[in-house]
Amino acid sequence: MDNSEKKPIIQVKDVDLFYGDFQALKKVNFDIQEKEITAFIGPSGCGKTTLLKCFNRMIDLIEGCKVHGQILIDDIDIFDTKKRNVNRLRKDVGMVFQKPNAFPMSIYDNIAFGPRTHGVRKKQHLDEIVKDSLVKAGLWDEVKDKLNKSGLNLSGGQQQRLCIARALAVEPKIILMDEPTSALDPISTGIIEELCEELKQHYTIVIVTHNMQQATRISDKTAFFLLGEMLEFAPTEELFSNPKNEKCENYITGRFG
Amino acid sequence: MLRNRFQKELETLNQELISMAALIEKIIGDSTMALTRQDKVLCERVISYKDEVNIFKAEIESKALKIILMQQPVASDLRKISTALKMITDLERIAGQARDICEIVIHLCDEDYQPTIEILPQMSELTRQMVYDCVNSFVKEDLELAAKVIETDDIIDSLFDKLKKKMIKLIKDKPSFADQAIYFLMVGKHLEKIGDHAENIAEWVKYSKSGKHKNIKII
Repeated sequence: MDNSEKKPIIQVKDVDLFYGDFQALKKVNFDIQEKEITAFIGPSGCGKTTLLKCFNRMIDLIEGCKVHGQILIDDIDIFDTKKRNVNRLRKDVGMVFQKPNAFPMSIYDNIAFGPRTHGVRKKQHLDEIVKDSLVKAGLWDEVKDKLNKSGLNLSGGQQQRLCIARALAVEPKIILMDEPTSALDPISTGIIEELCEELKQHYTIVIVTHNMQQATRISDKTAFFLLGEMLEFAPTEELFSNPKNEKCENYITGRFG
Repeated sequence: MLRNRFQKELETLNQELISMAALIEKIIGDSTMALTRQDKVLCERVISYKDEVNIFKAEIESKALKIILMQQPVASDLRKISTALKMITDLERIAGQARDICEIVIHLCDEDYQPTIEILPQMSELTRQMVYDCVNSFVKEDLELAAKVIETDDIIDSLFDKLKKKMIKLIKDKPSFADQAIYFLMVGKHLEKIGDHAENIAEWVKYSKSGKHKNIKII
């Protein structure tokens, strides 16, 4: 992997996060490089999804949640409301969830929803965006003849790719994925994993996964979290072959968790 | 990963490696005894161990590959399993070298030895100990023992040099014993190769603990 031309797109600096009195993230510090896949691993409740939800400020929706420290995306503090508009942030940072959440509308409208919200009105332009997004998500050939059918009629794996296409439609820079294949069969999982490899050419991907083989297969770097701390962050091959942190070693080799 | 099951499987693998190593030690000892006693029957017995060695190798291979398939080990577990797989190749080759020694000795059984051959039993005993130590260093995760094996290989190499000089002198002084000198030199070379294989194993044992093979990161 040649890192010489890559730059950090996300910089996490001294991030502490509290849900009321409970501290969910403790002094987390690290950089995520652009056009790489970064995997977050760790046992349930370790803070990996919490950190993921910080990146598009979904965390704002949780009452009593306080964040200290800084998260810079493209060198701008995402919590600095004067410099960062949250709608703009969520356009730049798309998200795909554990369960596919296609909207109860046509495949076409699922994809066009975001661009329309951002003011795209021309049919021809929307058609282009819909096709382009579905092509990038590897779904075009399967749905091109039924764009007006409901997105909910697709299989689970197809719906998840529809959600990825929907995220791509607003031209994000970063795609957050929260266990995107945990509800899918192995074939659909394989398709999504291959898709991630392709998307990496143009987007930065941050993926939370409980499937460590998946992290090994697709990610460039892996971060291991435990009890709100990020204990190890390293190139994936290194972390899974020779982890430096004993707790990380114990977790990935199944001694706990 | 189901840790308890994995531990059990790893222990069985260790036991089989110890048993295979014990057989290899016996083969090395027997091959040298066959040389010193000029014992054709013992030579043939050493040669016949081939099947037993291959069965051990196949069983350990099968167990290690099943562990990889079923447990998908990572980190130190992955290094341990891959080291076991590397070890058995070297152990099998050591047995092959001992067989080659016996095939030479068969030609020498009816001859009077002209040169004294005290260096060869000395090399043999050292290599036998190296095999014991390198497998033990793996099982006990003992890096000092692995380092000792690597150091012992230097002693083997210098003994082989000594043997070489002695045999060259014999060929020059008593050309009629040249064929014996060459046979002994070949036996010495096989023992020296056994030392190299034991050293290889010790290097993999170090990798298993440190993640570095000869100071180079493999992954």
